[in-house]
Amino acid sequence: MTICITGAGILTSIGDSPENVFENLCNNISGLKSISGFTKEKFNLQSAYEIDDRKTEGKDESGRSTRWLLRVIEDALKNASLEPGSRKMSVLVGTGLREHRSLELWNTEKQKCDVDSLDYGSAVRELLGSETDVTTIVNACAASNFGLGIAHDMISLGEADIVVVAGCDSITESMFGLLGRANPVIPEALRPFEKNRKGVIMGEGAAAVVLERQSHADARNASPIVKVRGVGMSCDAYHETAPDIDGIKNAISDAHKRSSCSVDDIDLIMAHGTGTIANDMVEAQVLADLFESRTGNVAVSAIKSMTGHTSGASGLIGVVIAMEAMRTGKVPPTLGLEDVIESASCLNFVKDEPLEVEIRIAQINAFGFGGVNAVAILEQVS
Amino acid sequence: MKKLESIVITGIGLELPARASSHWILGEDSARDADEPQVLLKKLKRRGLKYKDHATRLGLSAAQAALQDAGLPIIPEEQKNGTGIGVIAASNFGNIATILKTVNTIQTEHVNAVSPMDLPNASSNVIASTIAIWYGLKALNVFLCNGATSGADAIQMACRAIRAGRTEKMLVVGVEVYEEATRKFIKDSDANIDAASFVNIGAAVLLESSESAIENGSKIYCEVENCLKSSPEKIQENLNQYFKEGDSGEKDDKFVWFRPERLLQESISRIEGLPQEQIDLESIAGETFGVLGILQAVAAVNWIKTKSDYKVLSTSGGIFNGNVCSLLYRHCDKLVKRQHQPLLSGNLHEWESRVEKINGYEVELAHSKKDPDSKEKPSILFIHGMVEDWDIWEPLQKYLEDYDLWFLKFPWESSRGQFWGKELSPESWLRDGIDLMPRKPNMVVAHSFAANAFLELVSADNSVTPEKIVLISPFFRKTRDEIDWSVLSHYVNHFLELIQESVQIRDVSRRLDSEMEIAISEKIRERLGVYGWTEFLKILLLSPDLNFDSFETPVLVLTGESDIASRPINCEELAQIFPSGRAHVFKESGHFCMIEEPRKVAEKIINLIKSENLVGLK
Repeated sequence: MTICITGAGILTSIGDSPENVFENLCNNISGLKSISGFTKEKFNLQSAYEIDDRKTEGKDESGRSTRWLLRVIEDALKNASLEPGSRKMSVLVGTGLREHRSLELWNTEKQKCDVDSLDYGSAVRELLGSETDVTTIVNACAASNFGLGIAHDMISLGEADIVVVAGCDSITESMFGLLGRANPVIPEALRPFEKNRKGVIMGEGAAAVVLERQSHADARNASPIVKVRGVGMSCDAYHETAPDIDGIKNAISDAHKRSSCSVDDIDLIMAHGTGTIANDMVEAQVLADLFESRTGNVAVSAIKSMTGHTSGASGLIGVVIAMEAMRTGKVPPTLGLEDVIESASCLNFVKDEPLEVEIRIAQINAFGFGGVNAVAILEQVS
Repeated sequence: MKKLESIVITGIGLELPARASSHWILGEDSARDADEPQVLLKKLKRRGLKYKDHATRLGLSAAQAALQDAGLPIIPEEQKNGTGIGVIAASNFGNIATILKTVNTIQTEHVNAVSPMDLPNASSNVIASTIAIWYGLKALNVFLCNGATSGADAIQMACRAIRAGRTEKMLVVGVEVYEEATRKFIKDSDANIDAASFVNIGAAVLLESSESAIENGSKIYCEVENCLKSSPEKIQENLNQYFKEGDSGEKDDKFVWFRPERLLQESISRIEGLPQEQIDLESIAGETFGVLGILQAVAAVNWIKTKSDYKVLSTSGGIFNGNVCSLLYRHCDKLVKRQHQPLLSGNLHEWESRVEKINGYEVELAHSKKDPDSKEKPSILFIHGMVEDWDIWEPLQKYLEDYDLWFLKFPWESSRGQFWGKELSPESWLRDGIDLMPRKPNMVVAHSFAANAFLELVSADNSVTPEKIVLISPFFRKTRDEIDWSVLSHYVNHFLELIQESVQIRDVSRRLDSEMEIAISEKIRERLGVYGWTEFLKILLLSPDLNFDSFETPVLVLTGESDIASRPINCEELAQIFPSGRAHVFKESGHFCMIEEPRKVAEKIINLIKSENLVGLK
């Protein structure tokens, strides 16, 4: 059974469509700005990759991640030639922090936040109809890739014809604070796989894709954009916040096995690359170990250097960018990467400018707190 | 849709607050420490939980109880198959206290005043991942926040993960905890809801495929099926189909309905034939919100334990603008019978079976008991091949109603591991199995590996020889020279394909895609193991030495044109070694002609059993 993506939508600090986000990535444009949602004096780190859409500058407001989610779902449906509410569909939303920012604003400013805004069910049903089956998967920074894998299972098992997979996250004051508190230094920017990297900086974003069987898309005259070959999942069962070599290897092997492909088939890796000492070291080590035997090198790109760490949305944002890379034959560079972390020669970390290369199969990594890993494999539609 | 694997519950765990009413349906001995973080800490014994929040401790405690109930280890180092167990946890309010505490500290002081030890707790999925770390569970790990249906959604998602071949077992855990700030939040959201009625609770169930449960000898509480979701307004459309006719069209199904208190009365009144027995578990335990679906699963187990003739329908959701989700639980009649009584012609009660333990392995003999005249009829004994079950004979039965049918099941069906060949040779297994029969069958029909084993048996001991023999797709090489490296590598390399053919052919409704077929086939091959497979090789190596020169019994050898394991030419050659042997090749079949062309195969069997003598037909 061939399962494919027939529509996509995206929103980040550097653009609001697959085309313009991709173009900005290729032009090394970063979304890093001075923080505008929180009181600056309370924090040491002063910057983040925020989506600049608040109605009043400097005044934070509730419900932003929900707003973005609905926007990217609408865009993805439009792209897939589907009318919202026109037919029954399932929606899986992957998120790290839900509407925790609204909860914080309820707490400090009495802004609106209800029990039912802690998950995205009500909001999505309002857009797509009351019988829509909505599930909010809260799997840290791997959430939307888990969503993609579960959606793939739903379609394979014949449970659903169309599944919208989405990811969204806004920056919360508590996570922004705790991440800053846990990092002894203040990073000037998020610099994945750079020897002198200083840590992660949060970003905001959302993405959505429409997933269906190729035969289903054909029957309604929709054009598949890319095939989803498979999604591998694993749990380290090792540490709450530190990554683990074996757990990540298990997810990648599972992804290759489910996609019937090997390291030799992969043309592009959209790395998780968060710019933390631990993640990048472990991820580079795993990739070096697994891809060592392959012939020729593999392009590696880490777009969090320009979007920031978009938490639960990041996996699917990587998926949408990989789709654009396949379409255009270009791989975006990793901004701020000067001195590459020591690793194997088989890994070609793209830096400075885009790499022009045909991408047939791409691998998208996403690893989250709790040691939850989900790795997606996409294939170009021939 | 036919499900290849049904999903069963094999373990439950419940952590209630002390103030919950006592009721047998929640389990007489369920724990009552949900309000006591320090007590939970002691229960969990090991160190390292100092910085874990209350919700995580509560989740760990319920999870531990369910793992222990299912007979699984709770120490990561003892978890032999950690990659075969996944976790789905569900909670809406789990880490809200940590978030509010952190943000208050930043607001009133500075980020430097927050504790970095709270970092893991700020990520909502800490409950699911800590359970994985604590008990060594390495398959997929998912955390759901899905409002009032979270628990039921988690169960559905766990069933799907097992069906998609991601893991054998799933631990599903639901937790809700409330602190002052959470209750205030609830009150602010909906003034009509009594925030004080929400209770701290943790509940867990262990789910696995029936196949895995039987293989591991787990105790099976009940089967889970039929997840139905809708808006509260449309609930009657979903539930009507149960209560009106029963889910399988049986009008006399007994139902109990676990329903949420707050479901709109107006919607419920439109449901026809509502069962009289309805239970609102939250009136006993307190308001449980996202945990309700899992609490209902635990209560369904307790109900079915004592009232196995009931089906339990559980419905959760309907509050805080949420939809509703229903799950059905039933005593797994079929599975118990599959273990001790075969599934034959769908009329389970018409069959009886006898299980004998032979050298630690179960050998099972099944027989029709409904027919008082069966003794008058010619009897036929059917023996399945390697990695097959006796369901391969099912399509034949309706054509053979005039005969007294017997079925044997041997350890090479593979669910009990790979070392059965170390205990007895294949022909000795057959002899012990046939000994279970009250009298010698008139005819033996054996498939594949069992056909060869049967030939070994009759060539060693003529006393077991029946009047007629049918060998379906046996293995044969005329001379020893023909068995060379290419033959060996053919059988090794194509074994998976052969298993896949069997999986495909038995998947009547074609619901598996090839990816799934391969995954299932690999699992079956894994279970048979190299030792099990080697028993086939040994028997193939013996085939050139078979000598039936003075054997008078008629032997019919059947195979399919496209059989890659037992080629028509070899079957024809085998038929020639019997003075009264002949072969027939079915054009439309592969290795399983009795499934692919049952009517024609039955005709051949009937012709043979009716024929007086086959001598001269060769």
